[in-house]
Amino acid sequence: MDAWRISASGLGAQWKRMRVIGSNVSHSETTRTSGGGAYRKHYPVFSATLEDVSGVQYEGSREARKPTRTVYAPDDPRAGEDGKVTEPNVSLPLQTRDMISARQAYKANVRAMKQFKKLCQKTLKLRG
Amino acid sequence: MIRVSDSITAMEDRNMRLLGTEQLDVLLDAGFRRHEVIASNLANVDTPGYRAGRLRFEEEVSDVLEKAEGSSAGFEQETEVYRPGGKRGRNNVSLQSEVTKLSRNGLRVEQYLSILNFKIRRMKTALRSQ
Repeated sequence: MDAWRISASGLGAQWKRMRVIGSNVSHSETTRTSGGGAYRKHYPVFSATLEDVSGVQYEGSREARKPTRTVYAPDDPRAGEDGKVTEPNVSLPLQTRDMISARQAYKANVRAMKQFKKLCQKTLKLRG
Repeated sequence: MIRVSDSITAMEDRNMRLLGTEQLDVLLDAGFRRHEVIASNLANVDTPGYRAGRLRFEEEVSDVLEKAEGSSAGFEQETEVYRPGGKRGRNNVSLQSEVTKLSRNGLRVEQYLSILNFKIRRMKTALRSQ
């Protein structure tokens, strides 16, 4: 795998990670889903081969096992018969943190790409 | 963590003028290869269980550079990616350290390229003067 593809795969991975985070954030208040119950946080899963130099592969997103929060709010129209509301297990501060780290990783990949371009251009300019 | 790279940088500075074209060739190859390794580490910064790769090239070259003192003999072109340390099942990529390595490697490759450029220019001058 050449440097372009490796860096491109990193960019794609961070992009997908940001999409998953965006989905988590937008569903941070979703208490009903088609599968029943509140929304559960998703996280992206990546994989790589450790044999040689390789890029990263996106394997899809999984549901977090962390339990959903149950809040006692009998006045809430969403509450069940016992007066409890099940809220999603998304923590906004943690999602923000993840987003920042995704952005940093994205930038680092862009930087690797730019540097490779620069080195290739310099090599092409070798003429004494 | 960056001891190996530091020592080789000092050594390279000392031996920079002694480098032959063949050695530059090998060093450039290694530089581009190292770029790939670092890019791969950066791409896999969120991959569970990934362990950062390093190029085993550096130590061998530094050895050879010390012994050969600029002669083109004994240069190992074999590069090998190895993954030191780290608990299995845990990602040990540090974004900061990889970006630092990336910049340093870039500067190093540029240095080799400018030396190579200088050598080509000198060759051209010599040819023209006849």
